[in-house]
Amino acid sequence: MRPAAALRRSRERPLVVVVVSVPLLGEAVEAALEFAEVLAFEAGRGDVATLLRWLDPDAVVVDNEPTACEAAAFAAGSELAVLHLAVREGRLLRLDESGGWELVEAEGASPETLRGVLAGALFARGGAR
Amino acid sequence: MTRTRILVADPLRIFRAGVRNLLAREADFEVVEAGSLEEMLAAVDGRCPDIALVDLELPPVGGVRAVRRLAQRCSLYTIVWSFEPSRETVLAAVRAGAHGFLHKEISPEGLVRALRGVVRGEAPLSRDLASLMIEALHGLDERARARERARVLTARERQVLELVAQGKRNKQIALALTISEFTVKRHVQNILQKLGLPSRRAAATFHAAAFGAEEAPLSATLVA
Repeated sequence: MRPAAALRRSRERPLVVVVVSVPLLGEAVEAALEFAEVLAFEAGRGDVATLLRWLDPDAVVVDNEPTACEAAAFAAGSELAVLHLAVREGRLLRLDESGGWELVEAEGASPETLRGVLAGALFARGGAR
Repeated sequence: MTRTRILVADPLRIFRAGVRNLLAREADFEVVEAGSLEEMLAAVDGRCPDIALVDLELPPVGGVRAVRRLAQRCSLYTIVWSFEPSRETVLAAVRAGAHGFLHKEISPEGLVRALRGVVRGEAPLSRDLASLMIEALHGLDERARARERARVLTARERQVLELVAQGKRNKQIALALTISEFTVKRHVQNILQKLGLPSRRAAATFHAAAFGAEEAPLSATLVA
């Protein structure tokens, strides 16, 4: 991983961190977000808060319940966009402003929906910082 | 350069997108997608792929049956994959014609290696799935041995054994086979003696081993 200081400089593109148990989803997110820099990490290491603190991303995408809980806890009170792609069921959920999960797509989550939701979240908040 | 044509048959669009993005970076692969059995058969119509990656839950009939249908249309290598493979599903997929079975949690590098291995004639099977496969094959051996043992039974005794395995009491068996309860008791004794079994419960277990667990659910009302 690059030193945190090098990543915390002003970015031209939004940074999206992907923490997933299904690595191929990282590929899917990268394919969907040509406008963002995507960094993928393996889930299940219990270091989500540390990753997010040091990487300071604009959005995070996860694919399992424990990681979603960790990301939601970290995101509380911040503008960090959190998406939970429950890949086994094909559902896409978004962490809303109250800290609850909003169902975006009930089944068959598509790259287009992922792209639209993230683009909306990122650019509604002002995009890259 | 001749590219290897990969068919990705998976109901999850986001998952197909990930595989497509990965393989698009490899000069030796080209990807065709399908989200269902119907789409899959349409995709192979006219030009068969070299390799098919088929999800175990491919709608509407599941991946195992999809593999069979695909094998009827094309000569190709088929890999089945899923998030939670079991011994039975791995074996069912291979018996249906699949050449390998992978976890969907495979790394991108692992998937590319597996696909290139298939082109060279290797059978992709994750290490833990290889263990499941061996267990399943051992199960097949046990089944074959149990069936061989069951050959000592008469046809009527096999009927009685099947009903015992379903948890039926002697009276119910007598009614089902239109024989007396006394005759049923005699058949059960003969079955236990011939197979060297101590009890009805043991007989039910034996039947499950020989003919499949789904045919012989154990009943709490079984009596020795």
